[in-house]
Amino acid sequence: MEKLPNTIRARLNAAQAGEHPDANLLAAFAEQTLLDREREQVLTHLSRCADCRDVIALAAPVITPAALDTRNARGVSWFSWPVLRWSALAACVVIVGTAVLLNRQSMSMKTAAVREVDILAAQPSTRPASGYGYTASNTNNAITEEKLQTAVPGRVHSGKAKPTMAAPPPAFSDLATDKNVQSLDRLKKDEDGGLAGQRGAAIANVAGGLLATQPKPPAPVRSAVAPATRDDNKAHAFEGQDEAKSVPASNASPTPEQLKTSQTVEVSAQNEMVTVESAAPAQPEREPGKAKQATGAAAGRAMSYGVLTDSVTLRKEAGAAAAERARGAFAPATRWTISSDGQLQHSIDAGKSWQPMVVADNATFRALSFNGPDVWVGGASGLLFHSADSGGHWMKVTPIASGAILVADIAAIEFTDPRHGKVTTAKGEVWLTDDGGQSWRKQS
Amino acid sequence: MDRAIQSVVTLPPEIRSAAAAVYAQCGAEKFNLTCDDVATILHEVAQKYAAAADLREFCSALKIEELVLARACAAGNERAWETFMLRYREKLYEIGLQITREDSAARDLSDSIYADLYGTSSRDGKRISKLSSYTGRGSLEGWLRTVMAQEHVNRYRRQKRMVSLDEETEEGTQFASVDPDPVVPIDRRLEYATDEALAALDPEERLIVASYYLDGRTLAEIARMLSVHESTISRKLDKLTKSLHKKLLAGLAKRGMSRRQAEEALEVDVRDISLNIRERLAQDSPKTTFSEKKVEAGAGDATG
Repeated sequence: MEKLPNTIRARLNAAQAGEHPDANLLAAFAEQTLLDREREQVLTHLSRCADCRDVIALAAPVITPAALDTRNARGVSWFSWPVLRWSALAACVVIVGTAVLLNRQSMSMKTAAVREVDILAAQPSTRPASGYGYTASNTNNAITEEKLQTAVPGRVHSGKAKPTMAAPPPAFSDLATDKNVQSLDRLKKDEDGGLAGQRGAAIANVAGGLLATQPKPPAPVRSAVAPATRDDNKAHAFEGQDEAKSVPASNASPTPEQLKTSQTVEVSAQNEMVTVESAAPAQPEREPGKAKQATGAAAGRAMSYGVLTDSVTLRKEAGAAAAERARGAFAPATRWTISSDGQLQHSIDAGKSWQPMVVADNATFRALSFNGPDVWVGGASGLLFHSADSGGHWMKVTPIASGAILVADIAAIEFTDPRHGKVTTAKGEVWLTDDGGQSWRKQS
Repeated sequence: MDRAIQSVVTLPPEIRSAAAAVYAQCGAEKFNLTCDDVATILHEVAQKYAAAADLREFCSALKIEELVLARACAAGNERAWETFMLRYREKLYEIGLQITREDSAARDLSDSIYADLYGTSSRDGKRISKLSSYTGRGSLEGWLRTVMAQEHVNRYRRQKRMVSLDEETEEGTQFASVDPDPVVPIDRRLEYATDEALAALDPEERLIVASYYLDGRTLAEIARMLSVHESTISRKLDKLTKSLHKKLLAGLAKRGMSRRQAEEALEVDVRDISLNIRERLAQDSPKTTFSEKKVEAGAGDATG
């Protein structure tokens, strides 16, 4: 930090402090409950009085960063310069990111369409681009229809190419054999639209297929719906795949309320994780020496038509606290405390932030003991609650021993383990349990 | 035995209605306080702080439940004391430990405060409890924290004054011979420019600068005092220091100094400034902050 000029230092030191504010005002200042004009007066005094600064420094409460954010957010206007500045920056980042993403998508769609055009426009004597791994002299021997069918399980392969098939272009290139090209010629003659029409249809189908099956970034509220929305042709692509699992066929994203409910109910990771993998385009058998080229070709196709060659893994993300409670899990960073007004509070990040825990209406507590997921809280008039799942569920406990009921104010609770505990009242009574509160005895 | 809270005969209607609105929730009934008693308490607090126009809003912002508890304790209500003990006895020690950072000093401080809260001193035969001065502006815990901090600061100041010369000599403190006050002509332009630069700061900015440069507090401590993030203080302080420097130079330049002269003038040590400035010093010279000092257990008297 830059050095302060001595003249400034001397002037600050020489300032007259005036009358000291009382403890009530200083405490209210520390808790930010003063009126604006009062705060100004106290600040003016503090800027001149070292003693009162010492008091405030010692008396200031420790506030967690989360609470600080909440507190400071209340006083910040949405139209203040810092907020506007950061909002504008965030908006620019979002706009630029969206533009780049859209640009990439349109580029990949164009590339796919162009390649499709090239494939369809290829003459029988002209083999597809060498990028696909075919050469003029080897095609006849390299690929047979049968081999294609076995090489790419689940795909529909036949001598009759389906121009309307929405399967990815690899199917077309795989069909580029003499036999299949002859089939294409036949189709050309048969169909009114001719090859050009087929080409246009194929392009449209490919484009439509790509649009429908573009991988979306995994989002916590989406389930794995992509496979279920495809048409039959695409569905065939998944037949025979061992890894594919059934997924709920729902186009609509679940509402937050539904999601909360389902998250509360689901207790196993298997239910939350759905992995859908498309078959990687297995390499058709090639002549020796062609394998590498074919692999490269397939990989190249995989790069261009990422949907069917990428594995898609989607996972529902349950809220950390809700999932923990539902499973009764206990994280080492879980803490409990009671606020000054008797409210139970809970932290899952080792005390960095706290959330209130409502155990019962209008209940205030003074005593607390927790041991892993086991939590005991007690208050006035024998009010005693127990949770065995870190606050997921609470049970009211009424200790009874030899006909006597615990009705005094509970001053302390001590549980060394989930079974053995001691409750002390303000009157000095000591109640003991050795079975986690199922039965009690009063210490004489 | 409970003592009745002296009622004021005439209370503003806003106070009565505010008291009636909160009476059920504030728990006054279990401490044998009537609605009129609560209204009297609110009236006393409002007279001290609030303007007549915003009484209702003022009363709604008070911590009524804690205020009632404190006043019931001050009046000697046993049930109130039981509740107070249950809630705050351990907290007093924890606060003491946070302030003194030493177990024995913490116990001593919390015990002495507890005695003041209970009311060991009396006036005209009536017990005087410190809790009767709590007004509910902040939480009772925050008030206890401030009261303990004030007591700790007072003890430290008293102890400092009571340290003997022998002890200081043993610690190696040197006692310089008396110097004749140096009379160095001060450049009035520097004084004016300084006043001008400081006048441009708002109270919070002055507080930040004074806390950092005069008290030697850390950024984290200052942030805690003002309930903001440490990074906010760091940013503000850096900006303030640069701004003060710039304003001083601009002020001196406005008054006819060249840049080089102005920068040289800023390097003048405070000890060379004339007697008039030193006479304005209203405080002791900057001392080590309480975070580095400990009050020995048992030091200082118990009286306030």
